[in-house]
Amino acid sequence: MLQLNRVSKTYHLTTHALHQVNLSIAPGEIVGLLGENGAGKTTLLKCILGLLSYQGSITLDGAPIGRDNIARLSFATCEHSFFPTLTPQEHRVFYREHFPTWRDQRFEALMDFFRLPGNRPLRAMSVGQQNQVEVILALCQGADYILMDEPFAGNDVFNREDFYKVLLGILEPTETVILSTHLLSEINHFVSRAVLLWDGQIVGDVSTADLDEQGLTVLDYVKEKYHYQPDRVSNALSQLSGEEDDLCGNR
Amino acid sequence: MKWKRYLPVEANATVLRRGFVALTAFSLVCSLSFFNAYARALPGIEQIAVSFPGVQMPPFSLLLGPSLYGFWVSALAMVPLAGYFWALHTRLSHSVYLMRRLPDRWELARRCLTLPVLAALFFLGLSLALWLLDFAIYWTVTPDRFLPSSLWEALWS
Repeated sequence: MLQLNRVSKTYHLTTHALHQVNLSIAPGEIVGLLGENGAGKTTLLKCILGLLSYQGSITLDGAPIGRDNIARLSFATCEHSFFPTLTPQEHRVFYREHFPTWRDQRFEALMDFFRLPGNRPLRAMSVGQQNQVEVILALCQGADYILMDEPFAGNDVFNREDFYKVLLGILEPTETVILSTHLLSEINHFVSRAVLLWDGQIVGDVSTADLDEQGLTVLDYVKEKYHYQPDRVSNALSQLSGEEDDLCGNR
Repeated sequence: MKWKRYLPVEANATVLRRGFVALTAFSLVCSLSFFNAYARALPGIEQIAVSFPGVQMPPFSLLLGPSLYGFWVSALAMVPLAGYFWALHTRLSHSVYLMRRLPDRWELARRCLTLPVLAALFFLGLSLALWLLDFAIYWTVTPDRFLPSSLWEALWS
């Protein structure tokens, strides 16, 4: 169980990126971490991984996250955490050396499935392919908790859909995924739980099964929680066109 | 190769080797200035001694001059090299995220610091060895009548 207790993060003394976040994530869950830009999704993932300092506590099965259990977490990020000059095969060697739970068969299968060149340096690949390798490495590290931060930014819709399907197919019951994304409409059938962040705080936490019962999608839920006004755009446009009419009238 | 474990994953070993050789050569060339100064001072002092008996060789520190600065500059150059090694992990991607979450907490530090620290020690050690060699030459080759009376005076006066 990944447990966050009263986790807060402040940048430059004044900007509160996270405020008193409490969250428990059980093994096997696929959690969508949702929210607008600047809501604190990336900060939350980086705090879990110990890449950022924070106030509060984050524990994994009751133990603080440190060198003893850090290998139980893996990370795929749109910022990319691979070595650009290395090939996927060289990454395989590096990961195998550092992570004893590395899943070699899964790596081979995923590389084959996505037809990725194993011996081409990652910097010579397209952004889409780089994203795929980034996610494959995170999936094959042998971690119990796989954290993903906008991993498919730059991939086409078919590719993303393939990935969701493959993920659902290969994940073992104890493997947990925490996926931060903007692509709300796509993850509806992928995630089992949606956690909504707003201004550094959790403002929504719901299972997709509950949403299904209510006949709602994740997107509907997020719109509701964010008090989304559907007529906002049309109002703004009519106001703008009204101003233009006034200007023309004055001339 | 095992020694590559002590370099950043993306470091170019060939470029580093060439750089190291270049810095060593630069330092050694700089150090030759002592021999130049000494080779000019010794015959000079012998000539002067004809007219001014009791004249002494200039002190060792004066002859040494900036001849060892090359080693110190090379040793100091290891500080930005360590910074460059760190920066390699944030260039084009953020592989620093991966390095920082490895189970071995020292992996990143080992890869960024080992070579700069060892190279700095090498340059400082070589500088010390050459200082001793230069002084040994000064002390043994210079005729006794031109040497200062004490070792300390020879070094610093």
